[in-house]
Amino acid sequence: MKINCLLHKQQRLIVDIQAEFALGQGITAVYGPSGAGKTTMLRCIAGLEPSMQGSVQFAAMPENDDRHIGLVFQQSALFPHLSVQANLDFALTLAPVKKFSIQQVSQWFAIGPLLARNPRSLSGGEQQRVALARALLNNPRLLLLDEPVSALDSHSRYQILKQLKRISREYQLPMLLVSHSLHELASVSEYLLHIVEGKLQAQGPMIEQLTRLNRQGRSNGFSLLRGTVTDHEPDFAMLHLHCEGQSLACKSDGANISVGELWQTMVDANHVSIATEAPSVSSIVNTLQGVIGSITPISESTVRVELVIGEQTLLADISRWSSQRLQLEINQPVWAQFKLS
Amino acid sequence: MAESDWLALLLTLKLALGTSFILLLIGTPLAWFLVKSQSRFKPLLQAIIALPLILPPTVLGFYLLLAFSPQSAFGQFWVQQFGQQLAFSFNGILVGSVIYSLPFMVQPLYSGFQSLDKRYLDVAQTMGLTGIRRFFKLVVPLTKSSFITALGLCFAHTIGEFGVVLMIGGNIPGETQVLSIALFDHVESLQYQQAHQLAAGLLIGSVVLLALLYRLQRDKTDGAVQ
Repeated sequence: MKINCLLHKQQRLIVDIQAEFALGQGITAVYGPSGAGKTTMLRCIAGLEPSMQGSVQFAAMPENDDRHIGLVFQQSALFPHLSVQANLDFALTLAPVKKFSIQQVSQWFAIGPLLARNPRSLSGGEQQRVALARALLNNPRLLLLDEPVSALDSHSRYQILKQLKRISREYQLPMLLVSHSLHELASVSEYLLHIVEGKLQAQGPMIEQLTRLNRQGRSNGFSLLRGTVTDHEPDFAMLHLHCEGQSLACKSDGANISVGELWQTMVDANHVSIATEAPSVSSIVNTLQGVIGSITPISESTVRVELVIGEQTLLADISRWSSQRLQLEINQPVWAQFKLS
Repeated sequence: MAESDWLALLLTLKLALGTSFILLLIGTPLAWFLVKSQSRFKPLLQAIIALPLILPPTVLGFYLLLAFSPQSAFGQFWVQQFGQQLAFSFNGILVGSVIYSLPFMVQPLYSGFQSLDKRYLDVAQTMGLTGIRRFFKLVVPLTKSSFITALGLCFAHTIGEFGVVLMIGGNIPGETQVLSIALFDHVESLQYQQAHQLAAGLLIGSVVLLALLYRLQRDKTDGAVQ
């Protein structure tokens, strides 16, 4: 995908973004602080900013500029004069080709019982689920998601994001997800565009960008590990990965993944413990060997240890007391342990 | 009620309905254009549309009378086209009413369109619904209450019109003699009984109409920004 958008409003530069990246299947993350121009960039891509200079191109976009790019806002924007069912019908009728059915999307977003209701009688989370279902029914070539789950509680937020990731992969529907939460983005996305003050500051694979942001102290303490799938155990909803010559297990999140694919998993820094000797058998699933790259105090009681595991890094937040007791130092070989995540 | 009063009532209703209908056709695109417009002349245009709100009806009536006279270019054009002059005719008071009630159509629609949450239109556009279809499928139902208010106000305001009609229409029964003029006529000729009938009728009718309007507004469920 090639984006080249320049937009001024009242002589003030709003965005000036040139980016080129593979849209592929899956979710591309757009990260940046509030007011950085993320939403404006999406509006430019969707063709909603007539005064934009530049162009937007991607493989599935036809010549005649009938973009048909879906957009879901932070607030649902469901049509208040129509029932939920009529909102869905509205989108389905306008779809150039009907790819999804109302039944299908109702099941994905658990909105079956809401169909007869008026949008205004729904909770914020219910409205967002209907809005996502509506956007999919319209069968867009590209789906733009502008903080679609920010107004939701943390549990349903990640559930919906995982559902979107699954749909994106299974139906080859590329999505651009905007958020100011790196944690949300890293949980579903493999490529990141970093927007600051209306400009593209950096772009690249999520793991690399996350390591960069972690080193700037910008993330909230989590890392990503990437590996090749060696085994899928649907009974345990679990995947085994080959990661930097070691084995790693993670949750499969119900996704349909086959052996040999690349997969990434997110590990919260305060879920990781460090041992200076090879640990014996325990209920903790994962043990990875690495060396200490850096030790940074992050509060009076806690230090953040960056472990280098082959080409990748893993963060561990441990107590300063433990760090002193184990006499941790740079380049020391250690074992990191964490539960299935 | 005398036969001439019934005639005046029918004429008044015809005038009010005709004015409301014409203003719906003119005022809707005008209000939409004003909401969309970024032009520096927009305040001037808005001021011109709002003029009838503050100008004495006689001022407007006077200029319309000049414009309608067969000596003026517009008056000549009209007579050539339709073979009848505008002054002292039903069509003349219809044109006058349309101009005089214009702000009552444009202003409610303007604020209705203005407060419509733009995201509904954005979403519809991304789904492939554009232009006139988007207007009728989304904007009209979402601003329904503004349309009802605008139509109601135009209708009521036209019924209440006096000065403009008097200036350009005179007092011709069945042609330009509307209720307010008929009432004036009764008072002039000291027919207080008939004057009472018309005055009370207009008073009660107006109260009922406005009460209905406010009632409808209270139940509104439209697409304004929450």
